[in-house]
Amino acid sequence: MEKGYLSLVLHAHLPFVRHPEYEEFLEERWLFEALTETYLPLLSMMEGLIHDRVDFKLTMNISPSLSEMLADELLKERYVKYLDKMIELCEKEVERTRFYEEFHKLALMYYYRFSNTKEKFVNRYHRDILKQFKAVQDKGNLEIITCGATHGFLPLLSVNKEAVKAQIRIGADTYRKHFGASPLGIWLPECGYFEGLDKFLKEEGIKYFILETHGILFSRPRPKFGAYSAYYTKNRVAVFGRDHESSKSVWSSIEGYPGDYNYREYYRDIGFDLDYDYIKPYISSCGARIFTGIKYYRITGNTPHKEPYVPEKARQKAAEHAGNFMFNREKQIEHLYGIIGRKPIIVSPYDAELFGHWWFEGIDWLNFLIRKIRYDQKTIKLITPSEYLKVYPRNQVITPSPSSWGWKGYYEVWLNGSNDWIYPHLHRASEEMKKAVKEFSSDGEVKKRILNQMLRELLLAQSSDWAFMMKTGAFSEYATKRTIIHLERFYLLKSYLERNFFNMEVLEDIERKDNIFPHINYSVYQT
Amino acid sequence: MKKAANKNTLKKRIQAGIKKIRVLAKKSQRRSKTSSRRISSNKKTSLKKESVSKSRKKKPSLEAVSLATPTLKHTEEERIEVSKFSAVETSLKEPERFNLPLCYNDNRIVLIPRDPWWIHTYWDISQEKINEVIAKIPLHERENLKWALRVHDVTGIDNFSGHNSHSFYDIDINFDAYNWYINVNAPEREWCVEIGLKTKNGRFFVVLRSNIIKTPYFGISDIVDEEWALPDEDYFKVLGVYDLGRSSLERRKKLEELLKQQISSGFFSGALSSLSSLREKKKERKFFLEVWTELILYGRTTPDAAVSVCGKKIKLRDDGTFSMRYALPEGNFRFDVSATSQDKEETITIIPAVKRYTIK
Repeated sequence: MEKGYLSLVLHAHLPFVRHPEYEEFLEERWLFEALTETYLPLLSMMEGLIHDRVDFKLTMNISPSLSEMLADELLKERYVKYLDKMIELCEKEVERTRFYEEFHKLALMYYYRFSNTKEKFVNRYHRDILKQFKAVQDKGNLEIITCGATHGFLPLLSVNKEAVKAQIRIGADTYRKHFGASPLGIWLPECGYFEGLDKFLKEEGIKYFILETHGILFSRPRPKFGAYSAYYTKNRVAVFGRDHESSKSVWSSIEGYPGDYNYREYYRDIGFDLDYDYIKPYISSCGARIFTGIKYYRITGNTPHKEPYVPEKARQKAAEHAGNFMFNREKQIEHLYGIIGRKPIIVSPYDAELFGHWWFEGIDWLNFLIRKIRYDQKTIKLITPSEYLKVYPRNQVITPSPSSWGWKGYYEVWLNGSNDWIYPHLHRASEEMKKAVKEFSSDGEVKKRILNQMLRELLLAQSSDWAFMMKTGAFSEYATKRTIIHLERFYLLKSYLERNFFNMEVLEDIERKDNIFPHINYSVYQT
Repeated sequence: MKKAANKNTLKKRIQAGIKKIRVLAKKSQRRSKTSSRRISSNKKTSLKKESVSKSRKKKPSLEAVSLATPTLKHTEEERIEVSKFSAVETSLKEPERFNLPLCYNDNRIVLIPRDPWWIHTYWDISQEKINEVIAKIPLHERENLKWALRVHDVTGIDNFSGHNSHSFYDIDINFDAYNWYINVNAPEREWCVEIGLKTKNGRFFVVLRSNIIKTPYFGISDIVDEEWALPDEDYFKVLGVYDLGRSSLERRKKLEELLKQQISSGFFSGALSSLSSLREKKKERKFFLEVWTELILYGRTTPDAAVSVCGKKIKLRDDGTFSMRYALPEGNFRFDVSATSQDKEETITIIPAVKRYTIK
């Protein structure tokens, strides 16, 4: 009999990036890379486990904005084009490296990966990834949860109650649209929590959410089992806390696995390494060198000199690290089980894109881990949060602490000198949205259409990704532009309502560009 | 009396806090608030944005308030998350027509929490509103009016009227900063802020009052559920902390210190290593040289011929030319190039060879 549980939670999210107004748009590559390196390999891993009849339980958030992109025809079309181009580059690489054995093998590996990815995406999945994930969910191995509609950081939007309500309701609606059932759980964007948020979750029928460790530890009253159990909030929504120890071993590059010298080096990429004229057709159309995803080196060590990557060795390491992770969890569970008198749950959430993309071997690691847990020990069992609630339906009631999983644990990542200028605009637009709905919602079809598009623009402006990018400095210009563009479009549309004048061409153009949530309904802003 | 004393110590704390901000602000990037609020999309790069704002700097005093977090301080998780967005620097070409107004003049002051110790406020006030308030100030007091924020502790107060707070203190501000970070230094308390004009004699005339917020919690709660109690010793074991001392007071103090240290270092939020992670820490000198060699093998034949290089068939262009490119490691290499005519009557083979080595 097991003494406790491990709940692996993957958070898959990308902001909505789709630019039909351009032939090619490089930020769309975020999706293409994540598909090739993370989402499709994850799916293959799960299919492999099912094929081998390995009983497993995983929890995964596929964020609403990501779902909408995965379901979008234009982006699917562009993804196939992207794959074709990558396959072409791989063909050239196979030829070019013919006299370099180490690299030649790797070039073949990439060639195989990209061709195989295309084959699966086009012929086996018929370009519908969501359906595949749903199939795994229907088998009972995967629990897909939802997220805020556009991953808005709720604590800083909570000045306007409707803004929070809309993020959650449209998140849940989008989930229903893609997965045909109501979501049991929600991944709060950045684990951002504020006092009273549980009420909004309750209203949308959400059963559980997950917080950063101190969101639980600092709750009132003192949580009896630390972060190792479920709790209920006053509104009877269940809440779980992230386990710090297991996060550390994967996230941290000092103590964590991904820093191992045998693993693939993320920063060495042929997009930067190879002769400019040769690589030019495969980098940004403006000629800037970018990551192509084809990387030939391993981390090697504390040195600028890098050795060629050896996939077999890296795989071995991944297996070793999976064993180490499992062993540590067993010890942890035994220790906790002895003290708290119930079977503890260790909740280990990670960004899905960590696996495969940043940590190339991460999916191998996950695969080894799941298989080892099933066959090599008896102390722990994989579980989903909702199933843990079936094991322990009776839990302590607490008021969780406002918190997030960002740097320093509260709201500072999304509220500091680099991005605080967005909040006056976001808060005001929310108020204007409410006013506009009140004033114009019974005013004919066109106005309803405009109100719906205004809500799309508002939601897109609210993505926490923009504030995050402004803070880190990477892509801050794009993030700034996106924030401004959506607010601009919002106010432009609002002016149509007020002037009772509609430029249908402009409206259609905006609808075509920002086509997220086709079934959106502004009534969420009706009070 | 008690209230006044409380106010004084708070005031001192606040002043220390403000000093700290100023120092921080100076240290951090010098970007003026006006530029960040008047964001328009016609700025090519963030670097350029800075130079723009510097040359436009009209109100130097505004700089002091921008508590910009140094943008280079990435945590491990952020680095990984940024890696999701790795494709390219940027590629926006849309016509530069987007702009947001600096102010809406719609008379508001909004308060939001940042963490258990800091809150943030921003305001947007019309000239009419200001004039309205000034009109209430007796004529002889209207000289040298100063803008100030009055920070009220309104914890547990249901009907805050502006006069019934537990305590309050004032902060002199620069009105044109449009926002301010306030170090209240007290978790789990409720706050309300008023913006107003202060006369020379210290009289405060409210212009606008903010919403009420509560600072997030910090620390392990003292409130223990009878039904869900665990002995202290065991509880600390669940938390994974040992040797905190004997007396409960001592333990409590130590735990609090530990937690605070952990929170600010990002212990809980997984951000265990900032930029100083192992890979970043290497004492690697920036300067380097890498040299690679590639060999280009090209030629031409009749467009319908079959050509192979080292036994592998290659593709010809429509005009019968071909070009191959090989990465060349150290060693001797021969390239057997054969062309066979379409009727297979003729075959020509040419074998160029190269030796690639590095002179030491």
